[in-house]
Amino acid sequence: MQRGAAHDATRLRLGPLAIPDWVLVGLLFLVPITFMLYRSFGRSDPITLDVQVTGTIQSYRTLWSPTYRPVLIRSLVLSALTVAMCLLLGTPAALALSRISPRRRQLMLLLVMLPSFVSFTVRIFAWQGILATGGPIQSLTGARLLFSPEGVFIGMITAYVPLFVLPAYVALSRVSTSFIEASADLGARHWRQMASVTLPLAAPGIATGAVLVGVLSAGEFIVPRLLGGGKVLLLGNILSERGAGRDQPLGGAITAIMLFSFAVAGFAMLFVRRRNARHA
Amino acid sequence: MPAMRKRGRIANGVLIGLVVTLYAPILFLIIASFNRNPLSTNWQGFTTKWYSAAFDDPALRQATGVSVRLALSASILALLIGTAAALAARRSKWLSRCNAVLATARVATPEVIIATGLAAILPAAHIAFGFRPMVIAHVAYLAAYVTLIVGARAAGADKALEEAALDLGAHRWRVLRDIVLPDLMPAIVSSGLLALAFSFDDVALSLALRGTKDTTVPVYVFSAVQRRVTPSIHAIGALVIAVGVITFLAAAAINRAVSGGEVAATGSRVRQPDQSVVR
Repeated sequence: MQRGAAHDATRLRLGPLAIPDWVLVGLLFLVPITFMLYRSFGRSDPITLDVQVTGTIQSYRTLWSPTYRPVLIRSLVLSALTVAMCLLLGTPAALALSRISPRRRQLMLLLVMLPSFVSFTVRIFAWQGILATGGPIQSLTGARLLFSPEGVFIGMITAYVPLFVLPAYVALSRVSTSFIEASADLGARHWRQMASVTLPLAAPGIATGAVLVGVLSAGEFIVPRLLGGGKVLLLGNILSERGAGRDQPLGGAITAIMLFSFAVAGFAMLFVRRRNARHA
Repeated sequence: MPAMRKRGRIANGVLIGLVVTLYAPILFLIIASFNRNPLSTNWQGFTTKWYSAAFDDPALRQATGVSVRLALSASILALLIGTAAALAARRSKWLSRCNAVLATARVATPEVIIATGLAAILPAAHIAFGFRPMVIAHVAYLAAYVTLIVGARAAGADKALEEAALDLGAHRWRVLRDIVLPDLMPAIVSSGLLALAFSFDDVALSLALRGTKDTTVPVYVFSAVQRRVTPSIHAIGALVIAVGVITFLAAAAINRAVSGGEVAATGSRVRQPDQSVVR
């Protein structure tokens, strides 16, 4: 009525409703991360266990000391291998998902997504039965995998592949069939089509999945606990078990290393997207 | 053409292999839970006594209570905060962008980093560990999922109805209540169920922030499994799996009912923006 007929797009003024969420992010993400980064430049008093921030980089040196270096390297290598296996196994699986008939696809999507709704801890614990001495894997192949790095690796792959398959599937199913048909008309053989048309067009989605898996697996502490039996520790274990208490500076250093590698991975992903946008 | 069929076969094989690998351990665990001796790899006879033992376990009962209370309160709060953020950004590219960045950053941060940071800061801030910090930490994570899913739906929504109502002089709260919110409902419902499932599954945040008596089911399982595997743990695991499967199927069914069968559990319509017109 008084409002006039002009279409003022912001008449439902709801902007301030974003504030609670932003406050939440500030208090529960930025504050603790900043605190941990700050504490990484401190040392804990051996007697009182109080952490004093003196600007020392002792904690980063500790992380590179013979005690923790293997853990650091193992964590990075295991994350990288998990990503590699997700690319190797998850991409064909996502491709198959994007190509089967809609009815079967619905069922397969359901089957791939369902485990993510089932307790992660229980799913990983369930692998103990498969990998245990006397279990099916050992009776079939003779390999003793439980409480070994290989067992942890298997657990990591199965835990993270579904996370990769979904974004990869969405990206692959979006690749327009007309591009693929065009390349076929031009005489491209199937592998060639794959390498130069389908996969490049889906690269942003695949990169998103890979970065997600890399980042989340880098913080993993449940899989190494349950399938590594305390022998195969990762940075996530050190962080969750000691990072908040007496080893806060070390916890801060681990936080810093993780965030730094995430930033690198994130920029790599942006690079892929940028390049892809230019080519498309 | 033969090449096509062959490559298709490899990809299909990988997909089927993947599904088998996802389910084999779960089936193995369920079978073991009915074994007279679940710790043995040989079948020693059928029994349901481990399930009775699980139901009679007072620690597990208490943990179930904590888990349910935690998941419900955290999900409801996350729905309020996340939906509010998505509503705020409906008409502003800039706000949507901020929301997306903040939510994606949260989803892509391993919980253990935040859990440890919060556990380190609570004593410094003189805040007691326990149920309340657990709820708030869960809300911070879950709100990110809600913002993403509801935000995606809001971005694809048809604005004509709402503008017409405003032009005809409807009060803006009425427009919000009668037009905007009903349109977002499918996304609100599916993100709420997702939030429930995620909260019910969390170990890192609950483990780091709990007080002495706030053990949740996953934390209970996580610590029980590390101590020494007790025979009833398989039955407990099977029950937790059952709860997860039921939640998922309920989510899928509700999602289908609310959204009239369009797009499965993600609740996102970004994939089919053209449908907003048809609907």
